[in-house]
Amino acid sequence: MKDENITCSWVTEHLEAFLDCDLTSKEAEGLERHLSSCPGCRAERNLAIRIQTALRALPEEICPDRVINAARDVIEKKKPSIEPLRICKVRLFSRALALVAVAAIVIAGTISFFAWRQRQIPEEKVSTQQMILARRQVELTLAYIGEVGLKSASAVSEDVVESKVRPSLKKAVRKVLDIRMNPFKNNKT
Amino acid sequence: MRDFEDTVAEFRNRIYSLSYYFLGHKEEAEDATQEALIRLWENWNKVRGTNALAWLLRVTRNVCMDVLRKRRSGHAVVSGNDFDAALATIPGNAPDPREALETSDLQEQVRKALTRIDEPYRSIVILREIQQMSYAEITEALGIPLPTVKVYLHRGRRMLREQLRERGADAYER
Repeated sequence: MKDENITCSWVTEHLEAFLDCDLTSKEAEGLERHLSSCPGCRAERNLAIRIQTALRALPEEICPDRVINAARDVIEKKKPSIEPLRICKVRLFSRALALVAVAAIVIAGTISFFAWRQRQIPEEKVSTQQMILARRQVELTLAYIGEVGLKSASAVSEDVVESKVRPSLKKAVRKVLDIRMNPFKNNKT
Repeated sequence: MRDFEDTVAEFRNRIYSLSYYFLGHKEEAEDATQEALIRLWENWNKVRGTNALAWLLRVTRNVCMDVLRKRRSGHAVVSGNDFDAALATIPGNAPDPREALETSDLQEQVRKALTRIDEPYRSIVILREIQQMSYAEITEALGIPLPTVKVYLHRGRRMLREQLRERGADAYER
């Protein structure tokens, strides 16, 4: 760049670019030559450099703790109103979950209760041993009646006992036993 | 919210510094920082995982501009050492020669002059020269294209020089 092209107004216009090292080497050399011969532009350049140096030397200010604490206090107060949507969503979901859990527990409990109750109803079954015992008792009773009848021969003859009393008693006993063995048979008959 | 606390711890001084150099007023800077942190909390789900510093710087700058607007409309309380910074925001306020004499330190004059230049030049000068951020970082933080950032920075520096010259800082030109 020719020196005659570098005027004071050109320097003023390009001084910032010069400070940022954004000029080409030829432009920078031309500007330096102009500065060496122009006290006004040199003073402008010096002031610019001193201002830049002063700005860069300004310290980073330390933020007082009270600012952070005050912000925290405001945030704590605002918390419920800041996150209404998120809180609502979480609450709705947890409430729905709790409701489903409670319903499941109630249903399971009811089913278990009825199943337990069903198991608790006793089945009226008579064992074979009990049956044999009962028959034996009946036979003994009949034998006893027969003996009594023989001893009082005048009152009831053996034939009568054998043909009338004994079959009737046997029938009655069987009927009772049948009923105990199978209660539904009784209903059918 | 551990990562929120970490973000606050990491960037609190950057935000406060920007607020302070922007507003030139410690109490207002504290309020602006507090407001920026509250906004960060409110938008945390959106900001998390992105460039939190860029977001914070942009929001802090907006909060500071709100403070300036309130100050200009007369709502802000002006007191103590920050009186001259507040005076400077009144249009047509003549430079005080006594102040120029008293404030001999160039750094202090530069800091005060910074509060007298307009936006967006002010925040760009702060971010570039004080916080020494790259052009790319400033572009991301303020959402301004890179060539525009450069143009604004150059204008900002020029404005700063004019401010200092007006305030009698000619002695520094030598």
